Amino acid sequence: MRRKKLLSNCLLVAAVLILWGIASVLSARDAAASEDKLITVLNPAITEKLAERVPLVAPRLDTLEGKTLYLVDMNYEGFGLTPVLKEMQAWFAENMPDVKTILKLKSGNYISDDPALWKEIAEKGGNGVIMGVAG
Amino acid sequence: MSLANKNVVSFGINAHFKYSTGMPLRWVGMPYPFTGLNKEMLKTYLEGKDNVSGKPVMEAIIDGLTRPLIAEEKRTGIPEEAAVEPRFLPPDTEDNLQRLFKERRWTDYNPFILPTEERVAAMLKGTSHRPDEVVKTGAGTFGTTRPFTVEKVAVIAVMAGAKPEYLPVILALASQVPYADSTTSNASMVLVNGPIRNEIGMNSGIGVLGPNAEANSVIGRAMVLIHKIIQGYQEGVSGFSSLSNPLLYNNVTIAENEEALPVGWEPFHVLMGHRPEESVLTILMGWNFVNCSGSVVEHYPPQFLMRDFMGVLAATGSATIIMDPSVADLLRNSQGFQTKEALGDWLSRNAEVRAGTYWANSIASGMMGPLGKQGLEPYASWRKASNDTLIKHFPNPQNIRTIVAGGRTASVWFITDFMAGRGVSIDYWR
Repeated sequence: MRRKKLLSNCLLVAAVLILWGIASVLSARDAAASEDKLITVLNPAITEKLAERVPLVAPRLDTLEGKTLYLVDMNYEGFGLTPVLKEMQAWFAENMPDVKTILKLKSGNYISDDPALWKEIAEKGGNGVIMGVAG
Repeated sequence: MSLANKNVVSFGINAHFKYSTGMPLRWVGMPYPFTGLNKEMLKTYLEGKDNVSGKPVMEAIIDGLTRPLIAEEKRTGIPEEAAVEPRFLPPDTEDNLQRLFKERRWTDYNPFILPTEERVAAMLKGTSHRPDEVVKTGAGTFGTTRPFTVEKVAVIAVMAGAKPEYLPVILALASQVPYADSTTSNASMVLVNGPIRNEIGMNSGIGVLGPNAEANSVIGRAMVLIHKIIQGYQEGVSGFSSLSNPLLYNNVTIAENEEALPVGWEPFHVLMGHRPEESVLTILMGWNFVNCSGSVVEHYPPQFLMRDFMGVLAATGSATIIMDPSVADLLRNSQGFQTKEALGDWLSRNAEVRAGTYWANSIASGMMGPLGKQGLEPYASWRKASNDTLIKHFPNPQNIRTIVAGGRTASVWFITDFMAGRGVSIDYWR
């Protein structure tokens, strides 16, 4: 009787293990199928429209010799000329003395236009502008 | 700017990025920053390499002024669009799509939900607007044209984990792009007022500023994704915020606790001109977010500490105080501030800072400095003041605003320099 009960228990355990094994195989196969399943999703990206091009119209200079360059500070700090442009002016004086440089501070803040200055530079015969600088 | 039309060769010095808005200026990029450096250091910069071309800086500048123009620089008209984005992505596995979204930076790097057609269709039930309706055209950083539709916003709402009932709020949020960006580590705040707060379960009570409510968390996250995907903000590509700001993880997305406002204190949106029954979204932006560090004490009323802390808020002349209802009650009932405006008025008259400290802030000096130079008061007088002169740096009391939120478990408040837009209708997007 006891042997019969033991045998019955063993068979029950074996059956459970077999069923568990089958379930595991099926589950793994489903998971693999799920991982390989192709999904279609909407594209979040935006199609950017490019801005109208503003061409460079001023021909480049053939040489800087004898030319006048304006070094224009865009007034990032709002309180005066940036030392780096003064240093650049010193560089020209030392390395290219034939180039005349004039320091100018743009009026308004660093994102505002200054048409009066552009007019002044054009009328006074400026040949080129180097503009900077932020921070 | 119209300098190019004066037939003057122009040439910009700035950080390292290419033109992307139609202006083929020639750039030279030196190391950053320039501010506060001595002559020797600046000389080193000029003798160093241009970040753009790799040539010596001065050689690159001279080259930019003298090298003949190429055809690309002389182009006019509207170029063909950048690559047209199809409505659907090619079918792929979930893993590959998740990887693709990260590669394209369409993510905040937290887990997100893939926007299948079914999910997006379900999301679109949250609004009466057509999926193909254009929400806005000029949506990009630097004002670039990035038109987007209601469907694109629904896609992002799905990705963020939103419920359809959140969609009107997220559409209102999307309608406000481009969001303010600065290299100076600014942040945004999203405030919701009106009935929709309670309809969608936004938190305005206990734990309001923390990650404690689904609607607040998801809507704040949606703003992150809108910023990145719709606006096209990519750090190091179209934006350069060196430290950035931890508030950007959720954009301080809160609702005002209108039910807890003291008598006479109007909701935020009502003071901005909206009707009480309207649901309104307001985006605020700023830099500083200062905790009162403990709760209100008996021997120093809160308005005095708010006044003192306003000394560090020197950027814009704007302040927004977020206070627990218990603080609002105390200010009204014990300190006599019958309205939010009365508090703003008192702080405007009493907050002070040294002129030197005020102008040391580059936001103030860059924006208000030129106004002072042009003679506009009070900035003209402040420019002339000695560094130690105390100035009342919040001249307009209307720019000092109050939000009441929180759960009455401590008499706490934050003071910020956030400034508010007027607010937009959420109801329009229902």
